Amino acid sequence: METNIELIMHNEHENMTVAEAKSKLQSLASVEQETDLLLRAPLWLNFIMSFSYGMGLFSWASTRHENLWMLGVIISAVVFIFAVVFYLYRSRLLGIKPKVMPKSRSELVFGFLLAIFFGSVTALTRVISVNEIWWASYAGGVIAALALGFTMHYYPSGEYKKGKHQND
Amino acid sequence: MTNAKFDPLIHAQNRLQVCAMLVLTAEIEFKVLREKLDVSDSVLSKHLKSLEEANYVRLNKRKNMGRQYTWLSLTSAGHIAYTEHVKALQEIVGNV
Repeated sequence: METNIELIMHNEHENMTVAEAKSKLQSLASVEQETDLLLRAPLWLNFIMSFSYGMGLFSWASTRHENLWMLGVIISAVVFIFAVVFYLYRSRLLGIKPKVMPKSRSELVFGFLLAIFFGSVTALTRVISVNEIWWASYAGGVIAALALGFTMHYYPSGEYKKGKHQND
Repeated sequence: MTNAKFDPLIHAQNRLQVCAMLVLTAEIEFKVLREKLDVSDSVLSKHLKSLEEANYVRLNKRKNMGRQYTWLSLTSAGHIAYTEHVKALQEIVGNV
């Protein structure tokens, strides 16, 4: 009995045409796109998260001795944390929880590259700004905010895909 | 013949779509999955039972404000099986 089932399954694989496989992959690409849409934060929330992150970095890069920019860092951090918590809570209410930790190797690599990118932007913004290049804090803040907004909009699942229809 | 592992269990359209949704998320609620796949409770339950028996999907029943919700997630075995299956399909198409 078991052998017969295995044989049928094997034949199913052998008999699968290219068109059938292509159709399956297209349906998967469509499901993946729909899931990405479900996971994607609304634009206003994406804007709040990205803006508060960029503002926090700008404030930190502008902090000198006893000026008031540290207050900007604190306010931005509070807004950012609230926005992220709200996003996670909203997702839970919608019945779909986004991944917080990577599950696969490709996600781990993508997350690692993002961490290097954001870490570099943060460190460079501060270092260059401290060296009296006034526009560095503005540039760093804008780059970080745009990069975060882009990543959250196009890669809400935390998985990098080559092109929009990787499975096509 | 392909090198990637073709998995007949998740090859069925609905089961494949369940895996495709779960692989991108941490957890999905049963109701959301049912609405997205446009199937009945019994049909989805049947598919999920097969996947659970193969240890591809984990079902967590949780109570919230007096109501019970079923949350589904993909296990490591399910993740590997799905990835390998997609690779096998891509090999058939000639994308790899």
